[in-house]
Amino acid sequence: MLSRQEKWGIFYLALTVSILVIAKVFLYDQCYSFDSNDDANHTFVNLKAARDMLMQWSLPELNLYNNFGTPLLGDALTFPFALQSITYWFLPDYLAMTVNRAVISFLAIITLSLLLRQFLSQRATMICALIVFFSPGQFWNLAHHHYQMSLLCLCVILYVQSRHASLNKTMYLLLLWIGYIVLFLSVSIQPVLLAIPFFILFLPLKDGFQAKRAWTINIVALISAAIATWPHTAIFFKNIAGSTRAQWSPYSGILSTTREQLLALFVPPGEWMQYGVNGHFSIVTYYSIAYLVFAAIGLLSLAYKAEANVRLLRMIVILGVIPAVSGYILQFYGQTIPFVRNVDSTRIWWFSNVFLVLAVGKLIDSSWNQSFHWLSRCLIGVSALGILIASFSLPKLLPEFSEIAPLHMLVIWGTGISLLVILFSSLAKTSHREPSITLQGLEGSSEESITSSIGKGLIIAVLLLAQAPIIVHVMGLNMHSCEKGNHYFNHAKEATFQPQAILSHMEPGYRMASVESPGEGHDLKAIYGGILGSNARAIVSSQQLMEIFTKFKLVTLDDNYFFSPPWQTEKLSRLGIRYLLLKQQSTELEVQGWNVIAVEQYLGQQFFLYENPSKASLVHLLHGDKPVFLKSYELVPNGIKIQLPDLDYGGSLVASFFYRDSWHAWVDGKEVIPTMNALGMIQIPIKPGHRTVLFQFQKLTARDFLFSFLCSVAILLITYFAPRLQRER
Amino acid sequence: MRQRENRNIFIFLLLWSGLVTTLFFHASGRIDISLFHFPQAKGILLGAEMNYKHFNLIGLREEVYAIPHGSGFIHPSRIKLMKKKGIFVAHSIQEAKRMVDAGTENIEPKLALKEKNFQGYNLYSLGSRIYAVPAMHPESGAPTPIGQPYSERLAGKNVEEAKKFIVSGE
Repeated sequence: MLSRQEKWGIFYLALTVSILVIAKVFLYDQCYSFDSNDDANHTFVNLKAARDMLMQWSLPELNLYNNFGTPLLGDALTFPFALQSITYWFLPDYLAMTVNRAVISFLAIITLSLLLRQFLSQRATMICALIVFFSPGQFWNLAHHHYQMSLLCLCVILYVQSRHASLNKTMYLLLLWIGYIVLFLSVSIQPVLLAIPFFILFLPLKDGFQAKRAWTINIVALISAAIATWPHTAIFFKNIAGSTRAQWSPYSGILSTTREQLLALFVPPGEWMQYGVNGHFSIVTYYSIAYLVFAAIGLLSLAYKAEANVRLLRMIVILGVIPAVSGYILQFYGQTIPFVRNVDSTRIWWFSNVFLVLAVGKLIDSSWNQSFHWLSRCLIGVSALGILIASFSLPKLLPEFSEIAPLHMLVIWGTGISLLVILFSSLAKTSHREPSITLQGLEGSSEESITSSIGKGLIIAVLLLAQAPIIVHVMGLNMHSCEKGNHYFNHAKEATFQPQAILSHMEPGYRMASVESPGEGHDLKAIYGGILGSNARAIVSSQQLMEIFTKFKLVTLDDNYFFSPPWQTEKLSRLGIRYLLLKQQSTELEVQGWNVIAVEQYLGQQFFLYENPSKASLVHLLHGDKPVFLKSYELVPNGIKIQLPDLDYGGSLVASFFYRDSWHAWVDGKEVIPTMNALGMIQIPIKPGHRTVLFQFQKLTARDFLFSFLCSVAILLITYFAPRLQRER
Repeated sequence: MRQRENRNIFIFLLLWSGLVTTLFFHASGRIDISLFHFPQAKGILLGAEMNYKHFNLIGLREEVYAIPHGSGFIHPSRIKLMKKKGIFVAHSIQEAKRMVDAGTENIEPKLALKEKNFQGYNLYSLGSRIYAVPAMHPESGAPTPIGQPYSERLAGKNVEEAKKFIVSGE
């Protein structure tokens, strides 16, 4: 049971962390906490598309406005049913993301503290909670909708698991089931898969055989939650199998030598690599020498009294050390393994840190006197001297580190000195009570020598200091502004299409393409004006469509691709592209009859909006070679409804949406099978007399979800009434 | 015991609050705390020319590295190792080739920097002549579209003449 002071302490810590993560919101005008790339270009626009469909009581299956139709359900970045999606219903996107980050940070620190407090003293709990929260990968990805709930969900579920003795069994089962459902619906599938071993192993490792029934309930809750959300998960695997992302990985080849990979553990590679390292890989491998050394010494001290600490030691090794090392090895040496090569294996560290940090916490909590075997003492002494001597000849030993920031030097010296203090304290002969090193309720020794008090204070200060590079890098605190260039903050206007005046020159319900890297986002954000985009920037964007466009030399590949010269007006028309947005005038387009219909400026950059001479629309009739563009259509949830003119000839009707086998078509209420044309678009045959056509993308129905949900509930009920568990109840 | 634990919590929260406050001040730009300054690696590895007499010429920021086949790119700070592996460091593709031809990095004359980034060009002296080599983007360290990266061009007999040559845009 936590004391009042402890509760206030945790509350204060959580509050300060949540304020810190949105620091620039308080410092700069119109500054909000969102990323102008992944968040604004992907999450915001896809959630808008999903909300629009949900408001019409339809399942949000396809974002018609993006890349000729991009799947929404099963898209690795959208998660329309996530818990954190709720805020987007009530607040503007940029504010919803800001609120989400602050609230999730607050709750993550609270639950992390409650979880760690079961093993550590309050002081150690607090520093360890900060280390886990600010660990580079988790903190970097807290920015993103599809990852931001990962740590919070893990901690909540593990905390509930650990309360099996005090919770009523019904409540226990229900809480775990809800927790897992929230996890499956709110967190990207990759972290979910990585977290599953932790959910399965935590209880047996913590409480051993005593927790057998609780473990069974936990597994049932996990399986039934997986079944309840299965349609959502299954569709992801189907989408990803045919996506551009399945063929390549942005995560490999950045740190190519073992030496670089090892050095990156001590100083963020973005500071010392010979070339610029983009994105999260500029920091993600950073642990700091302090964390690694103190964790190792903590493990040594636990190993010395292994009999008393066997469970804890086993838990730290199995859930902390092994996943951390495996993630490291797979990340850098798993390139030949299918699936592994396409993912960032260091993401397992978001979870393994929760356990690895216990070793550091135990070091802070333990009485250092007589805590180490003589061999360990030698090792500590040699390490201390080694670190201190190496720090003075760093440019010679490690030329890459010759210009590292002074803060890293402070951390190195602090670590070395702390080790010396540990060594002296462990040799000192003081008479104080041995601490109770058990899994629960450790309060440390009753008396601490001055040396060990100073040493522990120093360790905490060094560990706190070691978090600073990550906080500064990730949040862009050195920029002294809220400008674009940092993925944590941006001005509110960057959340939408800029310059806005361009949107008013385009007619809603038509398609544009912007000649720029898709990360710039004009194509994606055109949805705010009811305009459809063309470029691809999605995890689930189709490999097949990319190959078709590449074959016809229509696009330039660049995360994923964008339409680019040489311009082939005829093909662009057949793809329904009526507008092209360029950053410079194009005589090539003008020669082909395209007209500049708007010129606008934004942040010193000129934008030219061109209109296709054919005024191409999303739908055309083909009778012979020349397409006849139709304007009598309406975009409906997951599809398009077309009113045909009076036809006295037969032919094909083409809607410029990428063909997937989930597209269905109805002509005057009668279903026909759509096919794919040469450009990858959907088409059906049309005969004289046909009046209306409905194309609808239908992969899942509400019935699929209902069926899965009922199966899940049935499993829960069977478990609840199972004789063995009933006895327990 | 409880009292000691409370005191520990208090001290810890004080330390943490100090760090948060300092970070806030630093982020605001009102107080620039040099301790929170971290270098930023920049530039991209660019294949300037492959397979020149069994050397690959690789550009990084303002330098061209002539790397013998069979050897990988080595961090530029590891000068000793680069020498051991026979890697030459030059300021242009042409200079790198002169080094490869001579079989040594110590050629005479060598490009010597006279002025950095004059209207997108670095000016080097070579003997009695000034050569212009496109400079890299100051922030990203990547090539700019101003000219062929790492390619030297005779610009004049002295710096003033070279500057006039660049301004004239010939």
